[in-house]
Amino acid sequence: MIPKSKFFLVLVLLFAMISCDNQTYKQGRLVYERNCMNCHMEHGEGFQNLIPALKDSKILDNDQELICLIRNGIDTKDSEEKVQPMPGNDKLTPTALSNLINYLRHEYDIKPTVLLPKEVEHYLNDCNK
Amino acid sequence: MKAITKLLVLFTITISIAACKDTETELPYLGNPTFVNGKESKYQVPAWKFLNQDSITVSSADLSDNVYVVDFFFTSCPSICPKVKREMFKIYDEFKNDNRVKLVSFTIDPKHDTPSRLKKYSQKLGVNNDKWWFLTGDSDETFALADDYFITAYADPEAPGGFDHSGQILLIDKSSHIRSYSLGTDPESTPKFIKDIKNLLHTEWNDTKE
Repeated sequence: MIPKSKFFLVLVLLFAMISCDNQTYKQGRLVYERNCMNCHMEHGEGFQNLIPALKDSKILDNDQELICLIRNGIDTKDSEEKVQPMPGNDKLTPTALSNLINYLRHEYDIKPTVLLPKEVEHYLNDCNK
Repeated sequence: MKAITKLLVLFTITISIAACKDTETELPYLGNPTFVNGKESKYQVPAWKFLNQDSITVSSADLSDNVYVVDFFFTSCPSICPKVKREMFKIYDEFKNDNRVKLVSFTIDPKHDTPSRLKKYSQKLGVNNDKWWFLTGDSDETFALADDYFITAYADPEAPGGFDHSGQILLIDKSSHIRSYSLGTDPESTPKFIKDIKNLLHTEWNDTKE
């Protein structure tokens, strides 16, 4: 039989390990790393005037615009003003989008309200490609 | 006893090899040399002529008094280009005030990347148009030239943005030899590449080492 104190110790250690991982919105960060980081860079700092920094982005607190922007991207092939396009992300599910947006808003301290996958789905229906 | 001696010898050799890496050795000449009448001639990138972002025709001959850094990209590239451009920008920044170093970015999408579009791109990037050329020309010629620089580039409707290409950055000396390269997609390879550029500047201008 394992002595009670040892068992307790293991439990405490396990707990400590879990709580050490203090990255909140982990799923959202993962979505960010896989889909956005190549261009918007590791901490959303953007790049010169080619790629906008995320923390200065006004669109982050507009549910509808933000969701459609991530979904459809920005096509610049025929644009006079813009050069660098943003690719659309038609494979991101409402849950992934919700995780991503909640992560970004948490990261940049914008409107602490949480966007649910169901709400995302509703907004997505209004993005006509 | 003998085993220990052997180990010691091996250890010393390893250390001296590692130490050698730190001293400045001459950069290699990349690419296969050709042999004419038993005489070796090193690989050189063929001469080229393209339009820059100021709509001026420029050529490789204009760079015979420079060492230059090359990459291939296109302005509407959604995949690896921003990463590579950031590394190119670091290099630009490092040699901003050294006129011996130039940067050359060839577009592989000349149909869309006209000089005026490239100019807009360089303005957004905030770089000096004389120091960093953005070049456009014939599409097939550009693909062939990429090949001469050992870079993969071709049109592929399946690829993001319509083109597939690799993100290497190359270092060319005064005489069109390729002397070093780095992976533009890997920020960790840039410091070594910058060191290589400094090394090449020393040998090309017979500078004394600082």
